[in-house]
Amino acid sequence: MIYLWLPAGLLLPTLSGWLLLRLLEGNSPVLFRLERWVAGGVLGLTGTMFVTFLCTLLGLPLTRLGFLFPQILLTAVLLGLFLWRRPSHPTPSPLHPTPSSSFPLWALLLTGLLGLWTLAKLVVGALLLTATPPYFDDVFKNWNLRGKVFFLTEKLTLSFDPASTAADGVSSYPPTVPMTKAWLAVLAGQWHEGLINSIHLLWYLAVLFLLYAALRRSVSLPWALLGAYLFASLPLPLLHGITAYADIFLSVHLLLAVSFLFHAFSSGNPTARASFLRLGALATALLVFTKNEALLLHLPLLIILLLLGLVSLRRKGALTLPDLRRALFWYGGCLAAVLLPWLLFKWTHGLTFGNAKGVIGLAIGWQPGVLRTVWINTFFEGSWLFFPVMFLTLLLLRWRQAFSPPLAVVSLFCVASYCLQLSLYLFTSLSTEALRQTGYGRGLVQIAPLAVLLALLLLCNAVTQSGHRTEG
Amino acid sequence: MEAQRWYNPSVLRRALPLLALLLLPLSVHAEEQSLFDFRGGRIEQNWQGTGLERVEPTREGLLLRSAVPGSLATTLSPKHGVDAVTLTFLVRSDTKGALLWHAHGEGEKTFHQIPFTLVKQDGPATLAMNTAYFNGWDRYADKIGISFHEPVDVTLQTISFQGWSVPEKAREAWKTFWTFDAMRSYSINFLWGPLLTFSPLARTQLFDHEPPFAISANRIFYLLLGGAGLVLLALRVLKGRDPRRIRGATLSFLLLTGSLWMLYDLRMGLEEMGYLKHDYETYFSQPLGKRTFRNISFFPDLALVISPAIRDVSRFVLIAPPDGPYPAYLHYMTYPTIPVDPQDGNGATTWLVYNRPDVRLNAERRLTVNGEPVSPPGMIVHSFASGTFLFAVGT
Repeated sequence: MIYLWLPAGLLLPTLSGWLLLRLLEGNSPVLFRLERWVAGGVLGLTGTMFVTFLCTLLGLPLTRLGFLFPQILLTAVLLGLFLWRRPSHPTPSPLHPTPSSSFPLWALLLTGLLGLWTLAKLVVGALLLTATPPYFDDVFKNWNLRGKVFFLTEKLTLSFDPASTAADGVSSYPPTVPMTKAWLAVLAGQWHEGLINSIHLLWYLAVLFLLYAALRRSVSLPWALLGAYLFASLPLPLLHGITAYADIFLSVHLLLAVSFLFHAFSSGNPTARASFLRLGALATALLVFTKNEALLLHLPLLIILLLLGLVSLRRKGALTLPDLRRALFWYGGCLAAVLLPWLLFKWTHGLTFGNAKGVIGLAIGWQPGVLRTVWINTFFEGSWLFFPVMFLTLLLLRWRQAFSPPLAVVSLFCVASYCLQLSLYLFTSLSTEALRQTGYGRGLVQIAPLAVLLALLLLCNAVTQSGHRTEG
Repeated sequence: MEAQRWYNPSVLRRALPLLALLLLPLSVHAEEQSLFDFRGGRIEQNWQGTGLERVEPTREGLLLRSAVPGSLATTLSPKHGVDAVTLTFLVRSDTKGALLWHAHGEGEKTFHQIPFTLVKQDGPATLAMNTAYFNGWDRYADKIGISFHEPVDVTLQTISFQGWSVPEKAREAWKTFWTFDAMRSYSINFLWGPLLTFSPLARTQLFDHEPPFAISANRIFYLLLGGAGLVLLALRVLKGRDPRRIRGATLSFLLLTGSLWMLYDLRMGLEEMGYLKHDYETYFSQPLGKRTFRNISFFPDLALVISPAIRDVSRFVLIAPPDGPYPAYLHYMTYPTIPVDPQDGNGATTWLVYNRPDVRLNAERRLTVNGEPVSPPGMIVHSFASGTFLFAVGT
């Protein structure tokens, strides 16, 4: 029964997220109905926690009322805006999904089998996530510990030693995940491991569905399902989905931020493009409030790709100057709204800028042994099945398509993010994270949904084209 | 044997022999074994000692006692290929040594070695070495021996040599593919995935070492996919004008890729289910007090049990094995009461000792570590297991 607090806790954040997305879409809705609810749940929860974070800075305690007040306020404001600016027509079906080819019996059976198999893995994972004691380091050193501290102290406490005021290193991470856990515990009136961990599985399921939805916009139903299965079969992301770590949480935001941008650039309809850009602006801004890597690694890349894409569209004459200004305004405004308070908070509390370890003071120089470890970790272990080989092969064989607009947004992001991570391991003292295999895999988990999205689009294109060629 | 840290160089060099092994015509040789038995004062070979002060046949085996480093070696004329060597010792004091061998055809003084550590124990200690995994191992080595780098006091009882036939190796490789790792602290960062070894011994020792003494089965997947890819490419080049064949070949390639992917997914999914099975057998289905949780044993239950006893204090002292997650774990479980080290425990009235049989109570009723008192006087108020107890200061 205690798990009923999970849907109860997600109710207002999801509703406000839905309203926010629907408002951003305006008169040009671009999301599938369920997609809007799922993305709304993800972004609404992060957005709600961000507003709660702002309220705590004004002195609001992290009590039941302290959590509820910003949620009710946010929902009320958004509902008011929605009713005021209600679209002239009821939410229509979004961009028409690519028509599905018929499902032969064998494909239906295979899909059913793979679906059941994936479901079985998820059920097992749910049991491991909710019914076993905490086990992995960052669960009890960071995510759950901070949540418990917030819950018990009823404030945004940065020190985990009641006798000290010095901020702990992991307090430099955005507090979204711990605050979400504290919110669920506050609702339940107790710190229940199963309940506060259960949210992680929902984030994983959100990745699966949002990946499916992102694919469905470009490919037929079987291909989109194949993409979701492909991701669900990757062992390391699955393990992160059933563990109270925050990399899947980051990855779902990253998937939204990059895929919205991709859809914006691939859309030929200016109003749909504008919708996607507004949605992308929100997802990119909230990305900053997930994990430190988002701020230092992913955000700069996203901004560069956004600018490159906009300039490219402008040069082609596909984007008017006012549209360009509006896109920049939305991105700039959303980013400033989230980034400035968070950076100010970090700066005033002396929190580091880095992945728990500050980036300033990292020793620079060639780190021997990293390449070899990365090589083995990527290609000769079981974390990714043989996806890396498949991904690289597709990228090489279909490089022209991969690195041309609009897919270039996804491929350049994946490649640049990977190269940046790799260069950190190769040239800084963060190399221990690769040599001990403690950080490298997690970095890949963050971009894995995008890599699967890209691989699937390339594969689908290759197979379809090959079919056409042979038929021709 | 000492676990080798990081990657053994040979990890990358074994793909082709493996495939060759799997493709060889199956012969019917079974496991072969030969034995040197030193018990009963027997010495069947001419063993040559170097540097060891005392080498003496006894009823229990060959006594090796020396304050200085030394070695013992003999020539071999093996009748079968050797893939594993098992030694049994009586060990009277901890010592480090190495298994030596000379590969035929190499320089007379060139010896290879595998280091090992012997720990003092009651009864015979068995040291089973998957020698085939190590670089330079010669299945038909013509000399073999053991060396000790420091003072030694052991009795060597037996040395047995085991070899396995090609079908047996293939069967073991298949079994190893389906041998699953447990959920461990590294599982959140990487998973070893399917591995291949070629003897029952190597398979039973699979996850005893980090990294495992095995090769990745990914090589097989790559070889199959690479081969199929080359066939497809060749067809495209040679049959460029026959779209039907190209289409058929492409479909076959995709079918192969999909099948291998699903096989791999099945393998990893079953491993995940194995985690739950293990937790069910050792944790969920066991009563409180008997259940254990992965490699942290009964620590999660201990954390729950002691919580009421420390609820009213702000801090307590924890003495636990230094290489575990115990302080951080307890910090989380008992917050806002937090564990501290003995040196920071001034004024703390409650001390928790976990899995430290070396921590004792002295005559003054103080806790001691290596004989040094570390606590104020007090008494053990509850003992949970050997080396695990709650200690209250001043009572």
